[in-house]
Amino acid sequence: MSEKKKLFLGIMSLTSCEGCQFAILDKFQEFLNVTRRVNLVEMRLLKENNSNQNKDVFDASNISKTKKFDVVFIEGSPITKENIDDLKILRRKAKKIVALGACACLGGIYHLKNYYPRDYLLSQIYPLTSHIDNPLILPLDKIIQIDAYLPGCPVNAAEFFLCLEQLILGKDFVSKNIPVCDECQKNGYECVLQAGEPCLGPITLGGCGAVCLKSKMFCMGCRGLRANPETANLLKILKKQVGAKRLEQILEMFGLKDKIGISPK
Amino acid sequence: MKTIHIKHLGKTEGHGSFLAKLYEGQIKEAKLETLEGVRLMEGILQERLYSDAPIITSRICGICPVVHNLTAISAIENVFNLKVNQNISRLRQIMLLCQIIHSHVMHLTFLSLPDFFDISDDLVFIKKFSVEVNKALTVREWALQGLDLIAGRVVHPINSEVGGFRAAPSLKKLFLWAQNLDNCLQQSLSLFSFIAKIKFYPFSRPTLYLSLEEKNKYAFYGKNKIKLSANKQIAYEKFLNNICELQENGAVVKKVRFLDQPFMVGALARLNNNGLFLHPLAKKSLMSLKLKRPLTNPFYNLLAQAIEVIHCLEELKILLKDIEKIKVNQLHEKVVVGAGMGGAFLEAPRGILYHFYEIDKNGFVRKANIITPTAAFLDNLDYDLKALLAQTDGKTKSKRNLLIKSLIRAYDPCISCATH
Repeated sequence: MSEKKKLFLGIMSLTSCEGCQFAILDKFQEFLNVTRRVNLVEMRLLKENNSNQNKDVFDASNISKTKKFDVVFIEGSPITKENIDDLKILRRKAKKIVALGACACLGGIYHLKNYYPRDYLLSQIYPLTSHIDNPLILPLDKIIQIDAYLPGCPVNAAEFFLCLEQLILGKDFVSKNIPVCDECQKNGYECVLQAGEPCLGPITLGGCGAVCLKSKMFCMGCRGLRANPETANLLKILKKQVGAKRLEQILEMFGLKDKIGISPK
Repeated sequence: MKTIHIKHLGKTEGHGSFLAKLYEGQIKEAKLETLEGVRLMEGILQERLYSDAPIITSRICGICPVVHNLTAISAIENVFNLKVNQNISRLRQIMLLCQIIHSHVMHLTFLSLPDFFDISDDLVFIKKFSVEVNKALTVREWALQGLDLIAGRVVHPINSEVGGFRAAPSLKKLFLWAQNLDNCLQQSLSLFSFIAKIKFYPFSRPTLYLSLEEKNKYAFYGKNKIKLSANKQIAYEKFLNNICELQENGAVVKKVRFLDQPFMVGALARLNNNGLFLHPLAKKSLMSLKLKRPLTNPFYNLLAQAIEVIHCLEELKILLKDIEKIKVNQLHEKVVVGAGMGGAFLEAPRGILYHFYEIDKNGFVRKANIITPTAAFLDNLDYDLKALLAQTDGKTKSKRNLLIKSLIRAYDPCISCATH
């Protein structure tokens, strides 16, 4: 395929742990194979823009020099003013934007900040510092239009490669609407819900291979709610198992509490 | 006033820029600015059940979540006065060593080495040095496999928790995995040889090197002391009472000073303080360099990391002997929740990591404090950058900029960790 016809791809992060990118890079051979079929124009972890290196002031990222992207994967939370500006710039330059990971799709673990008096927390941890942006944590689609979602904390690398494949072929990508229970049962894992654990598997979007259940860890809903979940029954059971306070905390972990409509404390 | 501003540095974990201000030829300021937003990880731990801490703190970083997870667990077990049995601590040590190996190889291969060949695109570097890179990746993939088997997942770990492990790892798979160690050891020696051929820029500045102490060992899980050099050590209490976290307006990172001095942590610091206790092949590699010790050139952090990969593999060889005999029905201790406070120190790939928790009688976190290695060494990096910049007068801007970026990347900063 000629260089010109190859998909112009960008993979980047706002404020994040960059775990989604590392989860993908950990499958390095597969990643290398796919880079041969695209034009990886921006991926800060792997490449820098050296074209202006003979200056005193320059941008080492490839974003500003790239005029157009076909597909951009963005992980992380828009927290600083620069994060938000970058998001808007990318929306203008990119044909398709994919929210990569729980932070981008849902708000992620930093979303927990929203449940606390945020400014109080800031003054507690930074008592002597001023001028720190501390906005409400939002998923990307509250700021710009998002074309596809790759949920999970971190993303499932296999799902990333599947998604990219679809996009290279000019198709859309949507996660299959199955509960985590589907894969959990297919893999023969022990049902921890039946063992008294507060597992959110039945209402959470599957596609992760039920990886937490493999280690007997109850699902905390990092991939978000699946479509048309039957939450009422499950919550009744979970409340009995762990109490209202603990249930609320578990629902807060990845922000499912907001989606279900339980009012914050 | 002249400004040098290299924005959005690539090939670092997390976002940062280099900024220097010169006035009439004098360097007034030179530093790594962090660009990550505020996440308040220590804040969102408050009022949450203790078991959430290892899960939440893993999300501080995507390259070293394992060490955050293990440090949170150790700190909380200290609060509860819980001592775990040998089976559990052995698996955790294996996890920590795999974390060190995979992080170092990632840093060397993708983030730092290309600088010394003046290559800015890793994909170009990988093509040019495909033989060496494949060796490095073999070692990395092996370490990742081990973490998958024991921790359930590398990013972010699932199986490890306060009290032990949720599910027993497959002994058969662990045994099979262990069989590939010798091959990895060979590859790691090759990787070291490759790095040893590089002519690093001769830079040096008197530096305080801090690392954990464990008697007669190259310490990763420390005991009670912090080493200030090969021969000097102080108790944890004394260290904690003499550090301060600096707050600067607009800055999310709180740089750390000890007795109001900047200091370095990480592979180079550990090597300087514990070189005597390296395992044979690692020690032989260090000796082959014929360098005066302690090593005071921060660029040698790359050599130190390559030596540590060898050492960690030799340590793993010992830990993995008879691994199939580990008692899988003893991988969970009873956790008795009680009010208290406590902390733990572990050596993360980049240096000393500290987690502290205050927990109430029902097991909910009241307060948390985390000091990451990058936050600890950033001040020292700034001092080094200022000194290095002063030496670049005769150089072209291109060469100067590459040198500056190379130094930053040689330190292996994890900016996400620094700005938790």
